[in-house]
Amino acid sequence: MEGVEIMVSEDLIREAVENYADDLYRVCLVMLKNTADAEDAVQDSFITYMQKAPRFNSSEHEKAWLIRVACNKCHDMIRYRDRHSTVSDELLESYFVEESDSAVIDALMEVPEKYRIVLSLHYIEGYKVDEIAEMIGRSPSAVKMCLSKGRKKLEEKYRKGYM
Amino acid sequence: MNDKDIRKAAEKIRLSDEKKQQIIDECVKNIDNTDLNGEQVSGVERVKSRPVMRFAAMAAACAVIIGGVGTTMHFMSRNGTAPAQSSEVETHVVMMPFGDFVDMYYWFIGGRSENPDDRLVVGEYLNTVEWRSTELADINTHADDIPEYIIDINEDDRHKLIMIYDDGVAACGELSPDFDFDPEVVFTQKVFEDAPVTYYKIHYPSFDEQMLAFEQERNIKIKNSNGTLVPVEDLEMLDVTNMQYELAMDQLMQSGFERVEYRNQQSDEIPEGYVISSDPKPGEVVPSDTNIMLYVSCGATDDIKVESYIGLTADDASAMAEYYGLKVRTLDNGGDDANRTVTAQSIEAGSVVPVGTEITLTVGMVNDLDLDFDLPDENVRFVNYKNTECPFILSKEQRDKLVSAIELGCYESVSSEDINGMVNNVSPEEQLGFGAYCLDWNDGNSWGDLTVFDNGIVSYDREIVGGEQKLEWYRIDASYIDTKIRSILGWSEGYCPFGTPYKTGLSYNGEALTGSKLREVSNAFFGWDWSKAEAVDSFLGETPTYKFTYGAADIGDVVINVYSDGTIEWSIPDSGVYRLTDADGDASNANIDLINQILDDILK
Repeated sequence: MEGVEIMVSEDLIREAVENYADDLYRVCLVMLKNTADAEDAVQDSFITYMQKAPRFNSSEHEKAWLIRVACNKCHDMIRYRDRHSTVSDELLESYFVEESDSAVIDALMEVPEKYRIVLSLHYIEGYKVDEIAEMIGRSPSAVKMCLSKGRKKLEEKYRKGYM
Repeated sequence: MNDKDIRKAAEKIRLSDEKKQQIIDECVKNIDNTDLNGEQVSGVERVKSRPVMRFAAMAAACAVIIGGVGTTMHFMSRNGTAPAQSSEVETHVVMMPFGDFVDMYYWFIGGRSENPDDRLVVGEYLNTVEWRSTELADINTHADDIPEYIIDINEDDRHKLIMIYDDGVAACGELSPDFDFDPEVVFTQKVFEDAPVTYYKIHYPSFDEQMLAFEQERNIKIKNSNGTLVPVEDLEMLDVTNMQYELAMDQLMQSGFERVEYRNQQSDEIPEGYVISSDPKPGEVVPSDTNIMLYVSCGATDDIKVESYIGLTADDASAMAEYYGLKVRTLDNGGDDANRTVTAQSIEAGSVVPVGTEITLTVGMVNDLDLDFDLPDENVRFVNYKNTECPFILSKEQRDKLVSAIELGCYESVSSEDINGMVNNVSPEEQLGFGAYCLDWNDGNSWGDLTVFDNGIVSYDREIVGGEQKLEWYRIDASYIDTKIRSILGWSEGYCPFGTPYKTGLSYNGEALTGSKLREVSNAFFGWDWSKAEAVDSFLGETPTYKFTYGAADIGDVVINVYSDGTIEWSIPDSGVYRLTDADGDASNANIDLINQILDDILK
């Protein structure tokens, strides 16, 4: 049987990185709260893209697929971090909290993890409830609940810490 | 802070150009050099095979299969545009022969999933798998072997099975229309009988790895364990004690146990219809075909459990004790006729005694505190019970009885300094987490709250508009006041935060429920775990599966919406909207079971 002989173009990878890397990075940074991990997650997402991506119907479909992969990578990293942490909470806190130029983004990073992804997909990336539900594998009502509660938490954090 | 602020702030977050180039370089380096079967190919500059092209129409896919192995297609870029001349080469593309898994009804024989999203997520992955047509002479067809995975595609009641073996061979055939899905059947290719079987090959290691990842991440079963429809697996016995028995049986069946029975037993502690214990015990790991026995309460024996009557007026205490079957004798310990309370009882609270036993209640002076909490007569809300927000306006009678019970129950005052050590000046929201009961009011002249904490501390916080604030602390017997509150509010049979529907009446889709239907729906409500309910801004705005209303004279119409995914929301006039989902924001599976099995049975 013949094998497959292809050359995947560097142009294709470059195009995908130029189009989507910033969006992925924003989502990963809010989820992981530090640049090093966020960069790793973005890189892993593009490697997965090259290895496993299906044919896409549109650039929106392609972006949504990448963001979903990035969310999964972030979840895996957070779980790994939780299970293998051997440093003190204080040291972790100082390492992991990344100060941004924006108070609102800092407040977003302090919101509990389960709300952060929904908030960033909705408010930063502009996805609608049903789109977010499909991307993260939850029901639309769960997404609405997370948005509502997450928004309240975000406002509380913003007011307490930054006003 | 508004939505635009968030977006604007986020737009400043970008990866550096240098980092983007690093990612591109890393991607090029990391692309796999092996072919589909894991063999290194020498002499050819190769990278990972093309992703599969997806076709919505089966006809198109079949046409490519007819073309056979070696069909060549031009590579298209991911968004369907033509390739640039300089960097693309022609490639063999394996076509998806089964159609779009996302659009079809399929699952895995011997698998288990409770969430429709699982099918979508796994289906999206299956659409990316390369199914390569193969010649029989090149492969072991595994005619008598039990496959590792069996995908069952159900179209118009016809079942097409794809049996996948651990060397990547996939055998696809169709079952006869009258095939008997017997739990004892072992699924080898014998089930196809004389139907034609088509063979493919896939890259099994990556397929297996992904399937196992799905099993772990999504808590589902995909891999076939012994070739039967319902493989026996070891399961951990759930803790269903104190659970309504029908819900317990549903949860056990949902988690994979095949045989669940129950037997009635008397119990003074566990309400009728709730599970006392189980065999096997919670946490024990047993095969899924084990006979599970639940011991379900059928109510109390003829013995009585003695309550605490301390702090009650003599009349209240006597009435309660006699109601439960005790013979009451009172011992006068002096004091005025008015406002005398029970200060001692001859049988300790919690003791179990036969009906007709005599109890002596010592009646004496009221406590020295002589409290008189100044709450308005009307519009006093009961704000929360334990961790559940459930604000509703108390009737005059309920308000009077509750306030009196707290006043009489408090037996000493506590200084602010002592309180700081116990309550730590937490915010009202955090106080709710202490398992408090809270009454509050705001009538324009004064506002305040009277809160009882789980640890028996009472706070009375009141401010007269334009005047001073009064904050006082007292101690009360926590179990006494819990019993009193539940008794006054009529929650002795169970609890739901918007009242007792079977007492106030309940309408379903505008028609009043009566008799056993009313009772059963009320009992279903009591079975939900209300401790996880939270206040929300508004209803979901979707059409609920079940819509209930009821009117309590003092609070107006309560609307209760129940959705097919288990979400429950209700509104109480002037108090707000509340929603019950589980802690993660997804409707709990317990709610879905109740809706799908209990409410369906009761109402449809």
